[in-house]
Amino acid sequence: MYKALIISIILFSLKLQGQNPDNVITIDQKTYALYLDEDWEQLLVEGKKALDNGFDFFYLRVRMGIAAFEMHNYHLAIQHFEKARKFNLESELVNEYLYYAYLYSGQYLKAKKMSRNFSEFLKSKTGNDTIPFITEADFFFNYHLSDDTTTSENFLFIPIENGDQFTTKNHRLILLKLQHDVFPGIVIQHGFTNISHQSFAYEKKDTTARFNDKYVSQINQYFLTMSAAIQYHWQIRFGFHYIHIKSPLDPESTGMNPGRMRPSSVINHQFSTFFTLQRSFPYVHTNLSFYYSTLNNFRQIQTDLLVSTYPFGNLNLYSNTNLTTIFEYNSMSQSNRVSLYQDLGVKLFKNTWLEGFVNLGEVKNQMAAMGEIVYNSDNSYDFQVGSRIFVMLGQHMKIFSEYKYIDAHSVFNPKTEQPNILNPIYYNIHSLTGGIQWKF
Amino acid sequence: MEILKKLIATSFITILFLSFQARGQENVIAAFKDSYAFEKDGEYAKAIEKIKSVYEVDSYEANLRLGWLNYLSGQFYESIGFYSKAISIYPYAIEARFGMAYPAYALGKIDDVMTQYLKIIEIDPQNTLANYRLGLIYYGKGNYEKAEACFEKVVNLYPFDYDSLLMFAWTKLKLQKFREAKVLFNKVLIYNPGDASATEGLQYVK
Repeated sequence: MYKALIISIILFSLKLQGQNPDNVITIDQKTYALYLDEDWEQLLVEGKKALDNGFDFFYLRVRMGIAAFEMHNYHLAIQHFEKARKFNLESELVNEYLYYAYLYSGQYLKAKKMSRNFSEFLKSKTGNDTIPFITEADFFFNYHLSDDTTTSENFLFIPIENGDQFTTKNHRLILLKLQHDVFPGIVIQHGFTNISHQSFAYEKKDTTARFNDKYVSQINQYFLTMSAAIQYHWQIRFGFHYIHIKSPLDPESTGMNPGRMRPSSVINHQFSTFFTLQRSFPYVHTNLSFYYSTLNNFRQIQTDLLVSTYPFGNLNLYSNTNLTTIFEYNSMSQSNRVSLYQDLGVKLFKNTWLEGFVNLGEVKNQMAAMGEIVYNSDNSYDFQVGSRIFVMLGQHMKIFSEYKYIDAHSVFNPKTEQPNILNPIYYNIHSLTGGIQWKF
Repeated sequence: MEILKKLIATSFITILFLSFQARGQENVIAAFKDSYAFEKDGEYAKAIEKIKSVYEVDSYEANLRLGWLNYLSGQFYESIGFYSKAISIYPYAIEARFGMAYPAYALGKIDDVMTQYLKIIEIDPQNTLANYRLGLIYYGKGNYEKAEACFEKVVNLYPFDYDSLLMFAWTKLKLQKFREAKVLFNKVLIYNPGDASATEGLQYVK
């Protein structure tokens, strides 16, 4: 970022008589001298003193904004540059600094929305004169390996006549996601996910029990979201997620004894639609999301409250706390669930970030990541803990890997309403994810 | 007799009027005096109140003073308002226009600052302060041709003035008029041997 020539009022200064109490001229002299010396910390101290004493002017805010920017406190820089803009909307210097402060603090949509009103020169300088059709592409691969040792012996004492139970063996997921900037400040993201999910399946039908230790469902998903920066510090996001599940169908009965399932298939369609409202504050972003889903023969009404904090005003240290509440119901039963996700991220090296995360509370039939992820296995995740690492390789590419440990359990799903949980089977899952992101 | 009575009455009224005028002037002087004292102590709000206590909308001095005090205390829009009033009272007074440039600058309204300096130069084409400051603005905007014209006027009137010589030299350098830039930087070094800015400028010329 260049440092433009900022002509100070000092060049226009008059000699003041006697002692110089604080006024616009003395404040300008002090802050300009600190600006020239690049004493950013002291500049912010003197500037804050001036603001506390009721002095506020364009070049004071510009210098304080530059000081904060140079100290990589982009949230503070944004506050000062936004104030400077209120004095003078047309300053290209301020607009350029504010644009980059938004970008470096992760506020992509706001930065792009702002660029709509840039001069042609500034658009060209910031790379906003042309918008590629695809602005970002992501590819993820995930593999779940469970230590489940379920056999038919786990199902000897189920007193209910009709129902089923599935316990995850392994799971492979591939996701391809694309982002399109349809207009500065408005983006569309969509993605296609293919999942191959292997379970140990048990079904009881009219006293006949069947099992399949290689029960494989093929799941194809498509999601579409649109995000837009609206007034001031608000953003909205909405979209839908369609899930197409192809599962083996139960075979003819072989009598009282457990028998092998004859592969045939059944198609199941599931949907989720969602809306998110985001509000940015200095050092804190909040998201409130609402979902309506039809996962696994239930209806879910889900609310997420996500609070992201940036103590240093940048991405050197950050945390995300997400509280999920779900009300789930069908004709037979209803239930409420609450879960809490917490992560902490830190910049380890110049281009490397490390995150640790934990998820408490039962996760089942749940949406996550503002509609991009669906937990629609009919097993519950009781506890999750893990870590991720991100590495930026140049301007365009980011690679990512994650390990997650999951405590899970399955239960018998009766076809008729039952008061108690039946036949819980507990197991653990080791989940590995890798991915690449490319920004065009 | 009647004429004498009228004469006495008129004289009485005139004397009364003049005494009120004199008392009014005394109040204004006292208010300005107190205002200067408050300004010296940094009590700008009190300084402003003093002037407002004797304020008349068509008083150039009061409007000028309030323009300045409001600027010092950071009330830029109020300052501009009072300076505008002063300018409307005396449109050819460059003093008020110079004053107006300060709050306009503090608000980042460079174009408004330029408008005032251009008007000053229209009234007083050889005004060195206006030419110098306008030259600085043009230089900052990268308009070196116009900056050159402004600095040249000042240097023609003050050939051995440090500030204008130095800015004239840098402007010549930006315009790639290296021989002239070299001459000017050397003149600055005559004025101030070892001058850091002139020394740096000469490096670019080489």
